[in-house]
Amino acid sequence: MAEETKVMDKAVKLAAEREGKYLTFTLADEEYGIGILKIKEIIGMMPVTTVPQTPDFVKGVINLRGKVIPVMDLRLRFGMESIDYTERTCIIVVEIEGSNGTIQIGIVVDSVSEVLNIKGEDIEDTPTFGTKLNTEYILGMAKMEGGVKILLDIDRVLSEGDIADLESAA
Amino acid sequence: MSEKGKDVKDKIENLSLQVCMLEEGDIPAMGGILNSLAALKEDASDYDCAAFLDVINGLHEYMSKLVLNDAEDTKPLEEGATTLQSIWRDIGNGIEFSADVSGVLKKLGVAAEDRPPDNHGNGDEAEGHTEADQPERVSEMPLEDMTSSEKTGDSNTVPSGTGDTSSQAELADEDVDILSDFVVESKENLESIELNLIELEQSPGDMDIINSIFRPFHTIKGVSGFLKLDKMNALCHHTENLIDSARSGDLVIDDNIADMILESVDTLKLMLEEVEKSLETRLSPTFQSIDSARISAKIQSAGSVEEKKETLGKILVEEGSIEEKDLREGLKIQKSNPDKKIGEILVKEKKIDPADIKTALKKQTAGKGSAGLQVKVDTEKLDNLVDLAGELVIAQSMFKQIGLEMVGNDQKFFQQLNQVTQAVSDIQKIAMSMRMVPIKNTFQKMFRLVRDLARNSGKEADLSMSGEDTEIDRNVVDELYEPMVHMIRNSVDHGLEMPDDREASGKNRKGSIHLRAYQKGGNIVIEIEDDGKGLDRNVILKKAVERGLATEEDPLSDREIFDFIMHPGFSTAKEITDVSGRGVGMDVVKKGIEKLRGRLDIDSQAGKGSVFTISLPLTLAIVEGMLVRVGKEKYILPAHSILESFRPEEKNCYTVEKKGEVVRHRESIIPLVRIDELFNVKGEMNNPWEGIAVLAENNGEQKALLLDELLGKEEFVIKNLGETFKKVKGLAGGAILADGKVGLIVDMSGLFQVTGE
Repeated sequence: MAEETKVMDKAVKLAAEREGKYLTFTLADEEYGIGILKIKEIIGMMPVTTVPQTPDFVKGVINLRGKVIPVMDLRLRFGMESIDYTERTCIIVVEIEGSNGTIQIGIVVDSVSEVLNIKGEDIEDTPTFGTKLNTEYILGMAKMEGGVKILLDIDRVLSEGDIADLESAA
Repeated sequence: MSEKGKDVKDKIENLSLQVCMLEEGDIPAMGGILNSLAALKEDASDYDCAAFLDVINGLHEYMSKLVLNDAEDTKPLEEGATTLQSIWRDIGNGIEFSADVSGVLKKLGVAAEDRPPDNHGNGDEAEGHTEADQPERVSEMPLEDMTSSEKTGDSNTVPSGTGDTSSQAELADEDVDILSDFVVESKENLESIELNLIELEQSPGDMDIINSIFRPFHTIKGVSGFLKLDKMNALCHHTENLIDSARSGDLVIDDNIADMILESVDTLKLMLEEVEKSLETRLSPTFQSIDSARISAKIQSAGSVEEKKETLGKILVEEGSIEEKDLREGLKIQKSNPDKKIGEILVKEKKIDPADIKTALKKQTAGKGSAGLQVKVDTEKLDNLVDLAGELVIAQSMFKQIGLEMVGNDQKFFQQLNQVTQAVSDIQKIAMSMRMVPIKNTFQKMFRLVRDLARNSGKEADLSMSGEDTEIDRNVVDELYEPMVHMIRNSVDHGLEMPDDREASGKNRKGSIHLRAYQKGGNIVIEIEDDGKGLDRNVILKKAVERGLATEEDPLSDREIFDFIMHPGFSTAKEITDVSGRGVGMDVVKKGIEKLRGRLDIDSQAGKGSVFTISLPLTLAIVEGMLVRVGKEKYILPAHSILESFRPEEKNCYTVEKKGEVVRHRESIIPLVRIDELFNVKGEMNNPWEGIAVLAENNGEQKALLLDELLGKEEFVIKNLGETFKKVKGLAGGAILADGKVGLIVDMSGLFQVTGE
């Protein structure tokens, strides 16, 4: 009994941590969500200055009201094909923990949907897919009417330890 | 707490503030305090606490005395205010205040039962004061013995009447603020003491320098007393006395005395560290681990004669207003009437005019804090200001673009716009210069270091400097301190020989270390030069071979050999001293300098000496650059690395092994770099003679960079690209261009590195 309650406790805690409001967006027919506390702003697509010697999912940098921030293409990050940008394409500026403080990074997504309030009990743990898919950066999957949304741990997705390493390999 | 309660609390806090800001002779402020006290008295009658009323009355009485000049010390006021605060803490929360306030009351000159009638409403009766009284009072202010008297409850939140100042109680928020300001100020004061002491050693007896050593001690003493840091206060007091005797000529500051003062400074520094620690733990500082009694005793025994009167007399004699014998006679009279001031006596004896006394007094108290009006500013604010100034420049230039498109050629518009541009540019320059500090501060810290090192190692060393007014960015200066300290240590420890050896080889007994700073190109260069025994390349080479870093036959230049000493763990020292020799230092130094994107060069001649050259980029925030276009992308080349631009002719371009390209220009062969290939953008031209080549130089090397078009030279604000791109070589940062896009700023040394491999 004690064991079970402990496991239940953990599960409840985990669920409670993941519940909250998420901004949902689409990427190639799939719906993803990022916790809104990480999101700084959403801007329309703007000209990106390419930076040499970076992996292909790092599109370059943009000028955000005087600040220069890097921009990544999430499609390429996840290994999907990239498409031409439409007028629905947006850049979501997120704020994540870097090695010295918070950094702002923009991610290019196909289109932005809405902010949803997702309850803890609607979030399921990610099933494992074996080595085909690295599920480290998925917080969980949210069951909503209309489909399943993939909730991202955006810090892991953009952790620049990987980025810097990837680049030096490039 | 009720409304009323909050009101009283505010009043008490206000009163405390007024009391600590009170300065002598400040009649309006005294009036303000009397008003506050009157208001408090009214409120106090609501609370049935005798002690409360008593203390308020006591304060009132004492204030009146101050106003009428019957009392001079503001300390009882401060104690009274603090007592009020602790009383309030209790009764404001409904607890009965039960501590003994008679100690405080006694100081205020009132007995507990007295309830003197309300007569002093405001400070109107203050006219007893004349200007002439002020300076004299200042000069004869007795140096009170600041032993810690019992304080009835101070800034501890423990409502137990007898506040134990030595126990570690919690610090209130206001205390933290005051303490942190105190720490910052005191650090500065201690630094200036050190500097002045060293200067004094060069010109002993210089009264100005002695005064400038006295004043900081006095300041620290005052504030530490107010903050109840009694051990600090006592130490300062004793040291201050010592210096004061020097001021009055009773004592000459020789090496021993100087050492004592320095020891006192060090002890105070330790105490300051304690205070800093306490700011983090939020407990009031104790100095239990610091033994200041010993140094205090030493100082006291070194002679602390308290004779202040002669100073004025000396000045008068110096001024020529009176003669020696007049002064002697006057002093004789004074000895029999000890409470007459020397000035008064001399005037009475008709030896001198009151006006001369006044000027002499002014001279005595002159120099009090007149080091050019300065303000202390939070560095965060400064950084924000610089960023915003940068934004302004960008916004204004974008505005100009739009203006050109929309308005075309309107004269008036452009006149106004130019004015704005001018003003914005000036703001930019000023904001930038605010972040720059002269490197003098850092250099001066080295004086004490060299002195101590030399004394400890038995060598003699002299530190000299030039170019210390060269300005350097504030952030860089902090990072620079450690590496420089280490290199100077090396110079004294390994470089300079013992005085006897030096003499034997025909050098001066005193070794000299010279610090030089200057701006060159876009860099600031700092050289540390010593005339010691230099680096022996053969010894280093041998060690390098031993450690497998090189082989015997490698053709290494001197420079490369010297670079070996920067490898971690590398040391040719035969023994490890506590200062150096472990082989840990130089690579740390190198890393520190590389962190700032600078470089370290070593040059040396065996037997003659060594020069360590640090060069750091000045490219913090603004870079003057040439905007160039390659295909659709724009890049910025730093102007200082561009020598010239030209259009290469077909006949001057050659290929090497079908892979490398060179161009012949003005009789030299220069390697060609295709920027479009390097940066992976599509360029417009295919052959070098169809584009423009820019001759760039970096560190002695030259390369020709091939681009499509030159767009003009401008100033750009460098924006950091962030950690994401920190590994990309060849890019120094980004800048916002006039059309709002980001232009990448090329880092020449990175570019040369990448194309060199």
